[in-house]
Amino acid sequence: MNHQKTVEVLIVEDRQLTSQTIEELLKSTGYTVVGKAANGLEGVEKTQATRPDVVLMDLSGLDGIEATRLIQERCPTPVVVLAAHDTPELVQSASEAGAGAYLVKPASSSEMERAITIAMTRFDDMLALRRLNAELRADITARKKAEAALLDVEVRHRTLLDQLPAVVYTVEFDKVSKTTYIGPQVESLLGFSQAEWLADPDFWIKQLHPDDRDSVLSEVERTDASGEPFDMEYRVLTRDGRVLWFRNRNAQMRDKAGRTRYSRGVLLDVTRHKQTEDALRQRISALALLSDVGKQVASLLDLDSLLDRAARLVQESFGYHHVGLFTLDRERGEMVMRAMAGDFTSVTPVGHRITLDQGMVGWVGHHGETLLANDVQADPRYASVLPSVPIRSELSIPIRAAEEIVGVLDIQSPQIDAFGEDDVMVLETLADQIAVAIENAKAYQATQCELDDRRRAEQELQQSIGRQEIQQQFINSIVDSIPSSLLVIDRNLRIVSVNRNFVEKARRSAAGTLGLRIDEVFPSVLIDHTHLEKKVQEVFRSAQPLEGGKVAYRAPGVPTRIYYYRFIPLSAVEAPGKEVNNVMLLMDDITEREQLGEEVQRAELHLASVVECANDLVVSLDRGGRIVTWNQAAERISGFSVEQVKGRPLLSLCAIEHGPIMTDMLQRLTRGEQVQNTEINLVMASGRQVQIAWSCSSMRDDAGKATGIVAVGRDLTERRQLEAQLIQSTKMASLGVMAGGIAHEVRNPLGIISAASQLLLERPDDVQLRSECAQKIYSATQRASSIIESLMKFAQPQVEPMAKIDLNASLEDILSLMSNQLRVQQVALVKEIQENLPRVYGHPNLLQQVFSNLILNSCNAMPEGGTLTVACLPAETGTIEVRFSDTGHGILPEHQPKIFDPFFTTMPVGKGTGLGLSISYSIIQQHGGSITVNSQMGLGTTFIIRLPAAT
Amino acid sequence: MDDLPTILVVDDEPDMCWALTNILRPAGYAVATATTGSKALTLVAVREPPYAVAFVDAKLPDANGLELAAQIRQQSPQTAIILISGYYYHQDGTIVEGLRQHLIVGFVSKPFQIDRVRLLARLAMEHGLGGGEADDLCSAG
Repeated sequence: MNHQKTVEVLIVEDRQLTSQTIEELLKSTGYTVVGKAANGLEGVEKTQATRPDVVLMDLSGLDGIEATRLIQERCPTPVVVLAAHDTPELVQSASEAGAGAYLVKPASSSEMERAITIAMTRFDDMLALRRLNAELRADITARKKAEAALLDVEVRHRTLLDQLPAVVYTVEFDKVSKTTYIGPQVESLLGFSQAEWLADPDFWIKQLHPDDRDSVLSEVERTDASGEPFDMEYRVLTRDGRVLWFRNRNAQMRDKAGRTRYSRGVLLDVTRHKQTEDALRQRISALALLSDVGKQVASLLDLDSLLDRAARLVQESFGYHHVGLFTLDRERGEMVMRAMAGDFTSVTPVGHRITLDQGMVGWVGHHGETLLANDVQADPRYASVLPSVPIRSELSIPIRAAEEIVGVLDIQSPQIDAFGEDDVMVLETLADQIAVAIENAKAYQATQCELDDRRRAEQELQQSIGRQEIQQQFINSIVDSIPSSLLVIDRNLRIVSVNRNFVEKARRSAAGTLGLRIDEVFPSVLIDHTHLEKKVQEVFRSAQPLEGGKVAYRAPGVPTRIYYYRFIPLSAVEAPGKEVNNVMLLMDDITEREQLGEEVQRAELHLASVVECANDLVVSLDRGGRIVTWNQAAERISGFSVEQVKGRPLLSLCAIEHGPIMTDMLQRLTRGEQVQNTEINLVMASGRQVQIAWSCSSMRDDAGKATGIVAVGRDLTERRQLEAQLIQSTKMASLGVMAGGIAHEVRNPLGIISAASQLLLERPDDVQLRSECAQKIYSATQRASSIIESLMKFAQPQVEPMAKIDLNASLEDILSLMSNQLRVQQVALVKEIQENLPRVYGHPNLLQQVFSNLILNSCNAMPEGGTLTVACLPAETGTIEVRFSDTGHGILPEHQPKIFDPFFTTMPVGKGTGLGLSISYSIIQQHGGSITVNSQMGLGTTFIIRLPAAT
Repeated sequence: MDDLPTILVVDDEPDMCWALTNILRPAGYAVATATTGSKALTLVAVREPPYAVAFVDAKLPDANGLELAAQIRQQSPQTAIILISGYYYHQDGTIVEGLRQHLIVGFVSKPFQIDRVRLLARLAMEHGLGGGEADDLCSAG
């Protein structure tokens, strides 16, 4: 748009930056900024002071709207409202306050320019309307004057009938009414001759305007009946189809009977008068309409509904037959029917197109001038688009915006001469209004579209950003959760990406790592050692992954860790493998794995050395009982080297008499049982036997299948020696206890020997006595000697080799040794011994030791004397039981579990060693037997020994 | 001999009874023997007049010597009892206690001198239950 002079603008904007931006935008587009105000009130004042061509009003709240209203009130100026948003309420209130255009921030310079133009145009239009309004007011005054004048004229008419443009008529009533006279003016006014008019009594009715016919006839009937004078204005059709307004007044002449005989009337042509009146009425309603349409249209920013509303408002408000609104499709050179209202809406569809050389609408669209055809058939520019529509008058008005034709407002009527100059003027004004509204709507739509586009674009961008971000986050979270350190390196050996694992392990921040060269991140020792740079470059060249190796890396403040590193080439997604963009350095922390490996090795070594250095024999056997491993202790104790025994059955190294025990043990192991403390002697390389206590268990694979046997054997030699010493000590202790009894036992025969020998000396000649004495001496000596012998037997420390022994004989031996002791202690002995018992394997003197311990124990339990029952009988299959039952005081229940513990004694200090029962227990164990106790306080105690019978 | 035995010998060893009989009889005493405590008590019960002296073994299968001594003394308070044993020795508390309570008048440990047995028998005969003599008798052994 070209401006004759530069447009002066006042900016009302509270934010300085925005204000400045707007100012620069305006200046760059050729506007002059005459001032800036920071608030509404200042804006009003500055408008009054500077008189700008247009005000740009920031609509921050009601302040802007109020200011706009005040400006319109005090100093009418076009106002463009600038708002941050465009709610219909805001637009409405801005429009009501008098804003000419509405602009959503931020606005481009072109948007602003358009808005300013619209505001100014509308403002001009408004001024024009105001002028029109003023004119119309003047017209009303004129009409009143005219009416007054007409009244005068009427008076004159009454007398000067013929000179008046009026038709005098007479109607006679005789059964039917009949026009008997009509003035000659009828011809000039209506185009009918007097004869024509008079020939048909209903002629006048036929010429009545159809719309007025009913009302006229009913009024005639009414006045006929009542006798009132008839006075009515109505329309009459002329011969050539025009419509004339007539005022018909008549007076009835009645006869004496009161019947109407005839009436005389005058038809007064009031068409001009009526037209003036109509025009006035139209203008008033047009004004109302204009302001209404303007208001409604201004608030309607959707083009189609705007046009539709405009068409309907025009049609309804002005009573036009048909109103059409066309817009110009400049590209195709066609007018497009956008909206319509009225009689012909059903025949022409919305969207109907007319070329620019077609009809009046086309012509107006092309030429941009108003075209009025009050008789379309007479206008060559008229073209009947639809012959079925009986158009007689058409008024086409161009709709211009910014000097350019944007559309056509088209009014049609089936009557000739339907439109006057008033119509043209009103509709042209309306067209301009519509133009502004169209522009507004277009601008709004454009803005809206632009906004929509921008919003959509923004949304799309955000969505795509969102998607990318989600994608990126997803990838990042995966990369971050990888329990390996990842570094992405570019061609310049700079780090472009690292994952969380690296950041944590290396004690670095991601920000403090990205962009650095790898030699700034890793210590040079590591770089040199691994040839890291060379390898990275190699991967860039080869585009092949490269295995690195192990490297120790110590991040500051943490212990050294061991990594396995490798390189992976990274290519662009669209060209995989073609060009390597980056190389990924992948570092797996294998410290624990390495340590675990070392630990396993250490543990294995440790275990091996434990096995090798053990004092016990550790032997593993295969399922067949053949030796697989043989440790140093086994070598040392047996005297056989690994090489000598490997593959030999362990059984072949056993003492022959223990073979069955070994066989049984191996069978139990293969069944899955555990074997504890089984004594099996091994035959050493030297041929001697060594006592070994074996604890064995079977080795099983993961499936639970027995794969072999591990046997741990303890050399019992030393233990046995210690035990023997202990046994000896307790034996000596027992001997001490038995000393009294033994002394008595020995001193009795000694007493006999002594007495007999003294008697011999006294009476050597008594032959009888001599013989008796010799006999007594001999037998007493024998007895003493046997006592000494059993004593010696008992006391001897040597352990006899195991042998099959008769328990009864062993018991008899010990009982004979102990009998005196029992006698001394007033203990009666009851023997329940079964003859011919199976023998047992055992050490006779060790078992005797057990028996003597138990007998002494019983005696101690019966300090006042009692009965000792010794029983020896077969028990369960293959077992022989030896019982020692006393009638003593019994063992306290709380002492029962402890009685076999070493050094447990209830005897006063110095009286008992506390070892007797524990040694007995150990000896019986050694024989593969068991020893248990039953005791009841006050009733007595029974010790039960069970020994396996020898097979 | 027609004389009633005046001395009772109690010992579970028959040979010891034989020896004591052969030692005491030549000294002029009639000797009765018993190998168990119960047998001894039977003899004491039926003996009238009572035995003057009894040699009692300290350990018998059915009786303790001192206990038997007490029982004999209860039945026959006039009988002087001399304990004879291979089990005890002179200063043994049991013996000392027995002497103090006058259960016994003397003690002979095996093996012994036959003259001592005869001396103890004579002293017991002569002094009867003279408690004052007990210590002497003992120490004399």
